[in-house]
Amino acid sequence: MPAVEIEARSFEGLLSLYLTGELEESPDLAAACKHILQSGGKRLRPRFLEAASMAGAEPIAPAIGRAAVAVELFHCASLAHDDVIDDATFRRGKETVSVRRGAIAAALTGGWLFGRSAALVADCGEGAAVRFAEAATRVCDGQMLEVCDLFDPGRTEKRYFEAIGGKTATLFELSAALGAEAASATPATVELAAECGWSFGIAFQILDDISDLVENAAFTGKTAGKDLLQGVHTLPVIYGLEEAPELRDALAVGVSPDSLPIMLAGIRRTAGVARALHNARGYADLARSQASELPRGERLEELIDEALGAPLARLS
Amino acid sequence: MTVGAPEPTAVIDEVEVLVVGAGPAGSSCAARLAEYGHDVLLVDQYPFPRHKPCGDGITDASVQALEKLGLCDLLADSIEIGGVRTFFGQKPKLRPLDRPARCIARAQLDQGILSVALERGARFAQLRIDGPLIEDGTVVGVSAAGTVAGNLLARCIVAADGATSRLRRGCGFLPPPPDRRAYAVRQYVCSERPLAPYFDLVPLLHRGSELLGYGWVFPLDDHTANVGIGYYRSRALPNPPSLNRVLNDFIDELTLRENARYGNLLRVGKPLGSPLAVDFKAAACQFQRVLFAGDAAQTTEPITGEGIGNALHGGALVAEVAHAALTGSHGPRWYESVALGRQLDRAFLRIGQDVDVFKRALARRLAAAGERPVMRRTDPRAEPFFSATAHVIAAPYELPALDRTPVHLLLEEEDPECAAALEALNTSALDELLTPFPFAPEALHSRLRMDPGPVAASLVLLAAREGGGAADRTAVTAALGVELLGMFPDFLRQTVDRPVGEGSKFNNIFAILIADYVVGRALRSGASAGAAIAGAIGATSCAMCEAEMIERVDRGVANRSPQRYLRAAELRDGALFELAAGIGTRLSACDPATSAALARYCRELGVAHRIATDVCVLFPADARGRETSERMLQEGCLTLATIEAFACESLAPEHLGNDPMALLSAIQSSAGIERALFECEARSQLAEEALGAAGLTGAFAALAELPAERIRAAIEALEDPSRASASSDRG
Repeated sequence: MPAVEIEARSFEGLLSLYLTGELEESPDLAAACKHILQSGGKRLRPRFLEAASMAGAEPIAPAIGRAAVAVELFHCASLAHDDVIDDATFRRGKETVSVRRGAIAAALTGGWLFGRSAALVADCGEGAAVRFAEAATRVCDGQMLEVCDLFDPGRTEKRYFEAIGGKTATLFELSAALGAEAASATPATVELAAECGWSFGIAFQILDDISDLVENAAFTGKTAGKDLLQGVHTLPVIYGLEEAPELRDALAVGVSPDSLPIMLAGIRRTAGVARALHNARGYADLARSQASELPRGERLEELIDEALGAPLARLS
Repeated sequence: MTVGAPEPTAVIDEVEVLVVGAGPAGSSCAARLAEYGHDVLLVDQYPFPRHKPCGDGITDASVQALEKLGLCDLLADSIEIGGVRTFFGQKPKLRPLDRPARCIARAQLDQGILSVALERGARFAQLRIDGPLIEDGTVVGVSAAGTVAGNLLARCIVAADGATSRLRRGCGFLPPPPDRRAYAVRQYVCSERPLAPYFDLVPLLHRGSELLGYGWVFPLDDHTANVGIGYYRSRALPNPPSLNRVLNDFIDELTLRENARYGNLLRVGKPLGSPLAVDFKAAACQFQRVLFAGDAAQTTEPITGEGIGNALHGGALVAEVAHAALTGSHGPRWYESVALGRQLDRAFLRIGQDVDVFKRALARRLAAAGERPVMRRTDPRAEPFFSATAHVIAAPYELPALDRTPVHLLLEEEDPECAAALEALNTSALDELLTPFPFAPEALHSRLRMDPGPVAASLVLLAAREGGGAADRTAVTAALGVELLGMFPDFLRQTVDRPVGEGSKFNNIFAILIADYVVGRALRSGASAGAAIAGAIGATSCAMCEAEMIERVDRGVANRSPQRYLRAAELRDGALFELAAGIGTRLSACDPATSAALARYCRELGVAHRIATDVCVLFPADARGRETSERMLQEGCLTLATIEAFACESLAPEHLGNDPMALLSAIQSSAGIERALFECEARSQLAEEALGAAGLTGAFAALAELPAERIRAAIEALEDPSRASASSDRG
């Protein structure tokens, strides 16, 4: 089987390969890592990396598998830290590490996974190491920006895009670039792949934010309105407030579980969700057209359709 | 200057530097520029002396600036303020000030600084400046209106015309949006009872609920005070329609509630108010040849609302920047070489931060609390990050100098070249840590000076020379990465396991994000020195997390084994130091034998260092140190000396967690300390043997002595506090 055929199963094989021998002396950390790595993720980032690598001349280079593991570990590191930041109890229906083992254990698990991903990616070449480090700083800056805007009824569209560009789109951008670069794509192709990853990431996050606002727990495994409760004002809310400024004062005081239904209803009455959805569709189309310009971009197009098509259809 | 009645468009004067506004920023800037020999005209729309709304109470930072200006007589005539009294809890709390503050009437203060500027050769004119004079898109001067109208041409214009700066608006910078504004208003009063020499800070109420701000009483003499209020607008709280009303109610309330303290308060003169200049933006500090200073640059401290300290220091900084650019070889477009916003941002950590999230959180807490008091002391167990950072949050400018760390002092003696490289590194570190995330720069700067970061960075620089190369730029960048990495686990550890309430949730957000920030920057520095170095940094951060996990699992285990402690020390400081040696020897292409010897040396040195740092925590040098040791024992963190003390003394496990101070003194006098010192010396010995085998000496050998020396100094300092040294309060 060529290394490029990293379908879900063989990726799992690679994942355990690159973790074998690690953490033998640290059973607690090993258990926490396992908990996060096996919590039923879709492995979207390694698959994105993998699909983008088709655009290069050598889509079977061994560095592709290593980079794919690295981006997934980086993603899982962010999940561990996100759960501490959001004080989340459940993720994909399972108890989070920070609830099961405490926030310090979750913080250290995230730290370890991040370190391991940085160590792995360093073997993928000078360019990969620099790209990865740049991405790490941008992911953190995006999250910091989101925290700075917590509970801000005046949060702007610009700041929202800056934040999600950092915290979400950067990792897809990185995945695409690492995949194309590891497969020896030309610099122009690597940049186009990176742009495609970024557009995809933006659409992905907007859809996730809309879903949090309009869908109930049965569908997503999350509670509707979680972002509002935590003071994160996402794109549909920002647009909604433009139409219904009277909601701003209520948001400034903070939304409680009691006032959440009223606030949700208020936002849903506006065209905020429709406008955000329109935006998401725009970025999804952009990602698809960027993928179609890539050499052998069909796999990437398929992946984009698979990941964004369903939520787009569901939320429309 | 020509005086008369010229045409409004006539040129009435042409100068080298025009400073608009003779407040603290303008006058201190003019004084410095005149001292440098520039032709300076200082203008203000009012005759002097004149009153101003804010000020009177000045911080020690301002006192230092005034001393520098030679205004010692003015200071000597003013009231010395020995402490800050806060009235937010059940009873007033007095916090003594390490260095006294002062109270000087604002009219005298400004007059005093202006006179220094004039003595040094600046000229003064009373003129009202309307805005910049722009020709073909280029600022060439300003236009004056009022009794004297006309144009003033200048090569450099310093706009120090206050919070409502007309020049700022004229240059196209927008005022802050309404919900980001802050205001202050004050009133002079006569008190019936004599006033204590303290700054009194009082909660600010409006119709029974607390506003986002505070009220103050600043004594100008025994019976005269400046009483005022300052507050931030907030959507979460009812905003008062009239500031004067709030001030009036505040004074009435103060008279009632604190009658035993102040007696009746008689109002003298009229209240005077002003917006607070808390909307600093690095991109809005300069427009071509116009440089903004003080409130016109919006440099007021965005949490306390204190503006004079930053105005005085900022005015001098603008003068330095202008002087350097004007006398350089830049020609007529000299200002293109200036990045004033960045310089101000660096000089005053807080102003560039996005602290609104903090204010919004506070406002929501106030809104939810109703009439209950809200301000309270941080509980170290619920908010370890904020508790450990509280002192730098409260006084961001009191960060100790980077060149006072023990390793820096040692290198200055042993290896001046390396000490200089370390200094270059410190400068780039400060830039690297300048993030708008609230309190992160202070937290990072204060941590950066603590072990093991500075030692690890020095090891990179020292090892990088062993192969024959100099400590070049790449080595400095890589060393910075290692130094930053040294802080990473400290922040991860400052999370709370089961957060309860908003305070500890915010604590976890800050601790995690700052940890991620620092590891990302560490990695970026490493990657710019090479992928292999970035990879090693990644692997080392794994080891450090493993070490912290051992510490976490062992928390509260009274019969913890010394081997577990030493293993964690190897994985944390040992791995970090070994990383440092590895990077240094790789960069200098050192021979394999020397590289291996240095790696062994560093591993042992790391463990010795960890032991020393942990023993020093058990010998706190001050109140903050005592808090740290108390917290450690309460959390059940057992370090080598404590483990050994439990093993060899009659200390029972139940001592852990109960009465930490008694436990601390029992540990201090136990044989555990000697055993820890013995282990530390044994590790240093191993390190020195590794050096000897490779024929290495110099600073490496001196560094091997440092850990045991630190332990001995800490013990001595406890026995004789006058011998307290800089090395004992770190860790």
